[in-house]
Amino acid sequence: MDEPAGPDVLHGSVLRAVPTAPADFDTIFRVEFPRVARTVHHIVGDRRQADEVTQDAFLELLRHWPKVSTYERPDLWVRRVAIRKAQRERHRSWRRGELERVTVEPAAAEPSTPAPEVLRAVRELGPKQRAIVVLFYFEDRPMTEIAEIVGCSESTGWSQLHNARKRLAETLGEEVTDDVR
Amino acid sequence: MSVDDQLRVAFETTDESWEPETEVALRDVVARHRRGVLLRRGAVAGVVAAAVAAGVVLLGGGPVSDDTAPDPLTPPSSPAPSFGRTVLQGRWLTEAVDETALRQAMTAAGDGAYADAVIDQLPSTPFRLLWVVDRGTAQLEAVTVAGREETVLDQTSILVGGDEVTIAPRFGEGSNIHTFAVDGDQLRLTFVSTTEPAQSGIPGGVWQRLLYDGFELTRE
Repeated sequence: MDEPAGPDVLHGSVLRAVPTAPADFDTIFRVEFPRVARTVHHIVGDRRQADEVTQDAFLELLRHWPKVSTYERPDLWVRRVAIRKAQRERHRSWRRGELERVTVEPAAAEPSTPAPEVLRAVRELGPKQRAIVVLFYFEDRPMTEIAEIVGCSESTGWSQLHNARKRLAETLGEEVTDDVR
Repeated sequence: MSVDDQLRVAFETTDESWEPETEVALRDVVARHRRGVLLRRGAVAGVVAAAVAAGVVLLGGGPVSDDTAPDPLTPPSSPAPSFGRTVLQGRWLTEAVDETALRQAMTAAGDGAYADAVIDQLPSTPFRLLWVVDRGTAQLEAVTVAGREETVLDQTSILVGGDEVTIAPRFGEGSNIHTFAVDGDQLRLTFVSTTEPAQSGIPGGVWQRLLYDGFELTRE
């Protein structure tokens, strides 16, 4: 998968007119923002952080749109950026105050679910395993795409999922059933 | 119920409350993008105005090679600020920094009282600080020693004039002035002043003194 572009691209925007969002960016934003936000919400566990991370990822997408819009799957690109940002979220807070816009009610902070104890257990997994579990069980994505999004090989993705399921089984007091492949 | 069944149940709810927020989020993202561009344009305009007022020659605007001879029209004692390639251009890396080093640097800067709060907001140690300067923009990252996983700490516009560099957050208020000294491949920044507001009760200068001045940087 193509990596996010570097500072050269950012600097290039100085030369352009003050931008509005291109129409096709608007389209992908309207379709993908809620989907990416829901996934990030499951990874970070906090709605305000999920909103922030998801917006940051789409801001990256907009900055690099001339290039990324030529890719086959810009939706996977923005997911990859969002998930990497989500994995680092707890360590990126020193400028958070500047980016805060809205205050979310504490009651709405966590994703709604009929099984909160399961989601809590998922959030205790390591960052990569957590992302893989969310992409597999929540987004129902094939492992080829999951591996591309989180930046690992497909076999590593399966291995991480297996280990995550074992750890969740221990936490939840269940036995691991057959392989999910 | 198996773990797989439990996971499928746990994730079966689709939170549709994100859809109504999408239009507002789109406007915010576009506005932030526009502000980022305007900030950099504002820096350009500011440099032009300052140069005109001072009657000096403007160096910025296009790439200037590191070994370019000084412009004879530029007074040596008051060189024009530059947002083009400067002596700071490039990638600058610290040695590995652990928690002890962070605390020592903060204590030495007189900021020891903020050490716990600051360290709590930084990535797990040890890491190296990497400052990537590309003309008028710069990014500060913490790079883990193992695996080189990077965390972006600061995205800024920068303006260099003489031995001073002005560092302005791209999405925040205020700016910071440091002096700098380059000795071969070594770079040292020294904090002068800030107009950045405090973040989470931590004054802007505390972050600047730790992350930009606390550790010597070596050209990568």
